[in-house]
Amino acid sequence: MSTGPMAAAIEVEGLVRRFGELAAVDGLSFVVTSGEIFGFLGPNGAGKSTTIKILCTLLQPSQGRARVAGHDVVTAPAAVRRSIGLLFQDHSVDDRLTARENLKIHCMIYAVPRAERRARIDEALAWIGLSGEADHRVRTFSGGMRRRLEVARALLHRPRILFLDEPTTGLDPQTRRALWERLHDLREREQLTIFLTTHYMDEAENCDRLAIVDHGRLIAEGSPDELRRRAGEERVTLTTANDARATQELRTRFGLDPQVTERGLEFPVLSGEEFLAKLAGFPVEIQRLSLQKPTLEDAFIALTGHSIRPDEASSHDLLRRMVRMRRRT
Amino acid sequence: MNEIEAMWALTWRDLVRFLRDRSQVLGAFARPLLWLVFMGKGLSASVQLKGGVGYQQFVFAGAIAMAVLFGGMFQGVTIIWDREFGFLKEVLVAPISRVTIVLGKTLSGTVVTVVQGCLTLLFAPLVGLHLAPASMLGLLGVIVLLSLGMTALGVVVATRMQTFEGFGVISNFVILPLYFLSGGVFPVDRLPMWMAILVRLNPVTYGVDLMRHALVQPAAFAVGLDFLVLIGFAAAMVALALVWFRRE
Repeated sequence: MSTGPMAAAIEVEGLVRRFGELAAVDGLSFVVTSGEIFGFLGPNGAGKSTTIKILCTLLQPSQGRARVAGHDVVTAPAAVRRSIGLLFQDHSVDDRLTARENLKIHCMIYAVPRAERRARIDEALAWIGLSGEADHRVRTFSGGMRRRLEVARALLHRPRILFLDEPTTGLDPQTRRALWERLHDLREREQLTIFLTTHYMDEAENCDRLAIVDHGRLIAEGSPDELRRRAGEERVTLTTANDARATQELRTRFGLDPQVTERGLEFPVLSGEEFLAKLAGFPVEIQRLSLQKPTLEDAFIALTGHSIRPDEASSHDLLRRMVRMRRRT
Repeated sequence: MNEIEAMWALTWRDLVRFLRDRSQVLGAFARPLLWLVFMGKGLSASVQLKGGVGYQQFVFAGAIAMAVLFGGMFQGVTIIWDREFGFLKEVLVAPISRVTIVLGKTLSGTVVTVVQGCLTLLFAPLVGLHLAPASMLGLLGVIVLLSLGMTALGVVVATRMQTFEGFGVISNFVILPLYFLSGGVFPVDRLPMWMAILVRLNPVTYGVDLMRHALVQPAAFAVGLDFLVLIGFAAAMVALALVWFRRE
């Protein structure tokens, strides 16, 4: 078992998973610390879901080792399963049952102590704001309501680690934001470790640390800021009352080499914030200043050599979604 | 202990779903009724049976068998729905064994199918059959065993099928042959040799034989053999379901 706040929640070493000729996961190694929000950022087919499946014991690795909450996923799958909660990429609530019935079934198959069930279910429903809809069938719920229900369900047995596979795919930005507020709040209160996969840049911003994965390999690892910095420089653009004098001052004071463009003076800096702080007392009047930081998207392109190609659903996914919509009506 | 409760959770879910699905409940009523009324009445004029048994009385065992065959198979293959619409994943990642999952699914399917089979019994007076308590008990025994076997067979089929579209194929190549070659629709004592052999190899034959024994005429086989075959069929199907589902 892991001990202390800095213990590893997930340790992965040389993980490989082959499907025939294809190595969907091709030698991954990483560590997720307890209480951390750690994200896998990568395009569809990068091996993100395969990794989650291995970590959740739904799939055997071809090679390598993975420990989750201190238990080996191959030799102690039952112990791993009891320590984790999982939010699947696709919907997995039963839409012919009510919200409360879905939660009740989860309590039963996860052996939540009988005496605590009612209280936990009520508390969970209140937390996701579905107390009023507790006894409505899930088929009447919106996508966002279903997702919230799934999050609440994944937490009913008080897991130490929560796995989220593409948690907000298909949700509108507002619902996405609301979901993330709840997750951050939960992490604060419960010291929960969260491991997620995503191909959304704005979602990746929620992570303490990110791993960029592509073709089953880990390309880079770091906080969102660190990764952005690796994508390249931050650029400052200045419009001043006297460009010639400003250029002179920038050279002598900061050792910068501004270029004159139609937008004004442009130059790269290491950290935009630090530069702005030092700019107080600059002798030339500054009329306009803009700071351009590389985005995570830029970082992704710089590190992998291609863009993330979001929202490329396979035809099977599309078909399934269509069938699901038809059933709903 | 937890495994048993988990199994009950899966069973309870399927029962709730069945009761909420009006079309399924209605179908359970309508199918045997249509069969008895149209098929029974339609053929009774042209089919001559030994011992003065009317065709409607004769086909009654077949109507029960049909309810159980279709019902059980359908309940078993609902695992495909569960897979397609995600619920199965929730169950597969839970800290419970695959055996529990298969048994829970098989149990719920069996209960639903037994209910469907027993609903057919309500129509007995309609075709002039009056059931003694002993006959009822015998019929119930057959219905339970046949339901268990068919539901488990449905689970076996579901482990081999990726989509629900294949269900039509299954009903044409599994259910209908089992049904037609069971003696449910026509007497099997005047068949060509090759067909008689197939009838004998079909476990459903022995269930129909027992039911007919309880309803209208003496059994063609020994009652003990009938029961033994039914128990063997159910046990074999459950075992196969357990083994094949492990790879899910």
